[in-house]
Amino acid sequence: MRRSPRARPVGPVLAGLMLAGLMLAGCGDGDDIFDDSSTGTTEPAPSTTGPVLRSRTLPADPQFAAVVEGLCMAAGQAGDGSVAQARTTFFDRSHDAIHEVADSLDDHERPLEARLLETKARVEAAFDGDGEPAALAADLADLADAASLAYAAIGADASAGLAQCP
Amino acid sequence: MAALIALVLAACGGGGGQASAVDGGGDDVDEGPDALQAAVASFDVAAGPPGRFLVGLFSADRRLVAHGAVELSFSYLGTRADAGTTTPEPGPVAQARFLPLPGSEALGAVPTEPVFVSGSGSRGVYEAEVAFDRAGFWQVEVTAVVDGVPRRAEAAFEVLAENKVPTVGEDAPRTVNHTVDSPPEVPRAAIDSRFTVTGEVDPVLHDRTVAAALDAGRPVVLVISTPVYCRSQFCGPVTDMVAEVAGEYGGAADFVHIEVWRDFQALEINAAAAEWILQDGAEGNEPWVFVIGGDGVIRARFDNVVNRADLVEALEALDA
Repeated sequence: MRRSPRARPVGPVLAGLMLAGLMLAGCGDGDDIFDDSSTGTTEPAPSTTGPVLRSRTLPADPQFAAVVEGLCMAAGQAGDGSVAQARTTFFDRSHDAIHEVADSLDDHERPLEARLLETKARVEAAFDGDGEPAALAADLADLADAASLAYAAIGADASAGLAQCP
Repeated sequence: MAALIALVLAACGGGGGQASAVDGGGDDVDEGPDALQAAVASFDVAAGPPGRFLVGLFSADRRLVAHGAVELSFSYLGTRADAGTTTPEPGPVAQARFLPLPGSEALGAVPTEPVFVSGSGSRGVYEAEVAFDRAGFWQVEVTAVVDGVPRRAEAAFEVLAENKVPTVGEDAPRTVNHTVDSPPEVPRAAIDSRFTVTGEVDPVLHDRTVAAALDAGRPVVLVISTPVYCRSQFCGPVTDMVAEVAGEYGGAADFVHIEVWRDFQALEINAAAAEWILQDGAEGNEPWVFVIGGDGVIRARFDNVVNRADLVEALEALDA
């Protein structure tokens, strides 16, 4: 998996171009620390103490806020029992961008990245397996919160999108 | 062009075969949200006989392109030392067909020409058979009529002198991977990252090792992926597809999934996965699907995206 230092997106247009390419690439990095079960010589990466605190001085970014808003809209639709509509909203407005922002997080933000990807996987599993709408709505809202924190971690304020969350 | 090469070198820790979606040379013919962008989706491209070449297409505002076919024109740019300073040398030309991601195939009438699609539509890449006659940096120019409008995009990528990931004709590593029978100290998510979602490890794909299957003289279909922590968004669907094929072809071969991460948050990769995708300078790209004969020789391999039809064809070729 890709572990090289990554430049953080500096603006919506550049971010969109870079992230769309990374979406397809799935790059790796030979410097990854890998498990050696026979010797136990693994070295864990530094861990965070909790979610990244959101700076109150970050500029609002409508592009990223739209991604979070899409998740909140899907949560509302799922909560209303419109799971198929929620699925379309999720995949049309937010799914790809979640992969992209996850890929943009630094190594010390690993717990946040894990939360983002694990919650996304729960949402996708619910869509694939006719998940219970209320639980799906809760997972989508959780994903919106995680995505907002992830955008804050890369220097963008997407919290405006949370206004739509149920 | 030098800027584009620099992006290729930077995209994967400096040594990889991936391309940048950003054309630093500004060679796209159109601007605006419909401007076409290209990104090479192949892993481990090497000089030699014809092999799969994958490229993804999308718009400037991140809509994917799907369906139909596009033309790929390749040019040789040079080596690491002189790339970007020499005139591109024309190379092969190929037609690339759309390869949909498993589970995203269009229902009903399928467009015959490429179109921009929404995220909930068909998603995939374009696939061609291409031979590169030398290692170095290459450029692919994609020419496509998308939504009825001729468009062009470029991407640069590296062709290696030799494959770094085990390839067709080579002996498969006799990997002792984690299974459902692994001792309790092996985290269940290290067997399959979907444990973090489902709370269980599905025995399908996780009940045997590659080594045991080969020792028994059984062919193996091996998928190396991280369904939950996937960056390319292809891993989960490809893994699910392999599990579905296992349900039908379990008599013909043993099916094995190797999870990439021992511990995602600690940046620990499973040694079994590293044995395949991190040796000899390989970059750890995934997903990969390998078809291995009962004699232990790799008969087919598929990087990133593979559909059911191509996998089944490779499986059935084992009996030929």
